Amino acid sequence: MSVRPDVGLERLIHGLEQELLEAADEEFMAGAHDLGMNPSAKGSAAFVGVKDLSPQLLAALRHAYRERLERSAAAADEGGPGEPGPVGTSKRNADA
Amino acid sequence: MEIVKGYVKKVKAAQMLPIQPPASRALALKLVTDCDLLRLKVIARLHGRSLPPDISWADLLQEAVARVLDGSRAIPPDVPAVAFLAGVMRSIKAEHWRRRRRATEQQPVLASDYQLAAPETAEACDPQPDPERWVVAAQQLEAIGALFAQDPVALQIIAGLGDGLTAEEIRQALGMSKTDYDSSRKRMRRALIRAGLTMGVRQ
Repeated sequence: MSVRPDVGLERLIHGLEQELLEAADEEFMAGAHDLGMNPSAKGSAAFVGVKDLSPQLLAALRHAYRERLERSAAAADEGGPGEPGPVGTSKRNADA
Repeated sequence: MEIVKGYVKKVKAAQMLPIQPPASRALALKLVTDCDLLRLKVIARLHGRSLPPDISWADLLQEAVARVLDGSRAIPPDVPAVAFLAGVMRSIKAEHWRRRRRATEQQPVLASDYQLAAPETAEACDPQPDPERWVVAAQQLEAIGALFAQDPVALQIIAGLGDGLTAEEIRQALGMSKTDYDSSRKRMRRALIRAGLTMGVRQ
């Protein structure tokens, strides 16, 4: 390759992405079956990282959820209507 | 008692809903199919090869789907959902690198040292190439090459793609018939799909 590695890699990824976009659905199913995976089965390993949450995403969601709880608690302390709390959050918990 | 148990079960299910991954929600909304998700996974893994080390391909994929679901990126009517999501992943990746570059620019000594070493003729991907990105890219080019180590034709096609050549230009440069070229591409896709569905979440 006659270009900078980062430029070459991006071009290569772009070219291979086009290949993957053009590939038939059957090629993906066959690829999964080659690996002993059955994508039509519930909980198939083929969907690891797709239908489940990565630790990073789970942490980000927990953080957002905690922030939302704190905002609700702060709004309740100020006596304003605030943002409605998440399902199952009682007023007592929000005040705690 | 059974009624209470049923109610508790329902409440728990409602509490679980917010942590359903965006990709699963997109599937439930019929925005994508199971096969689309496999395709997106393989594409995300491919983009994952040029992500900053603190971001995983799964984060990239979920973020792209989340942006479409929350309406911040609307799919144009004439664009297939998968192609659009692939484009969103590309743009999120670029955002991450821009953010990282801004952080690097706050280290003037490192940046100027690097600029002395950078070849003046380097083609512009980033105006100021990030040394870390260079290292990651070199390693990943090697890793992609290793996927096709047993396939010399595929290696030549990869080199052509890296040089920015089109499929037709590569075929002509290699002097291949369309049939041979297409069968090479099919072998490449198969290897990519296997690699994309095999590896762990972080890799």
